[in-house]
Amino acid sequence: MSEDIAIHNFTGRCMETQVHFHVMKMKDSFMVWIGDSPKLDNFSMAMQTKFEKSPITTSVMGDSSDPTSEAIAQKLAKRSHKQTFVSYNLSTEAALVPLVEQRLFEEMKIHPEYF
Amino acid sequence: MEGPLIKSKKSKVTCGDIETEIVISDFGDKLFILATQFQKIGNLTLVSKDVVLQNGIATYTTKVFLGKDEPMTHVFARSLAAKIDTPKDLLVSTAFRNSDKDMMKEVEKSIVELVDL
Repeated sequence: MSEDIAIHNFTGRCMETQVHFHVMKMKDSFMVWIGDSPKLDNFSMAMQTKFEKSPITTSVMGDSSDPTSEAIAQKLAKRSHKQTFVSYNLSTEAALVPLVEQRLFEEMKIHPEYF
Repeated sequence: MEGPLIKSKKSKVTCGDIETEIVISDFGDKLFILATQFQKIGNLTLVSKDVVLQNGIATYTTKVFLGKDEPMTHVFARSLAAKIDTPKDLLVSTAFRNSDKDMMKEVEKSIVELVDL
């Protein structure tokens, strides 16, 4: 049996918002929740397939017209080559998203063992 | 700063001779419950409690988002919702090696115990 499921929490300051991240690492896959208050409004999944160059994504739950969580999941899947689940629960302000991604990627670099 | 915003608990139990990992994360409006024997998200089901009727009997709505939409998936999630005393919706993820009834009952019991902890 490989290692257990690991949970990792961290935060980041993006613009004026204190952003919380909650990561659950599973086997060949992980889930990231991003938000500033406790709620889970949407849920997306992305994974690399052999049929297409970029990972495929799907909105599992929530407003499917908001592509933010799908986009983040796709980027994470591309980087990690794993199946990724993302829940993005912040305002969809365009300027905030890249900062959140930056913080997330930074953490992935520092602590790859949690992803 | 006190603790993380999202509180979570996990445990590892043996149900029907199969090692099962349980993770519960409280996302405020939803309780995410993962019970897996593969260390992965398998099925994903949302259970919401509907308005409690005057006679005190709650009704539940289950919706399978990921995985096989089998009756057992609904039954497991629905049964779990009835045993967990919370106004929150449940997002239940299960990945079982088989659909042995006794094993699932053990898993359910372990989840309820972990929630109450």
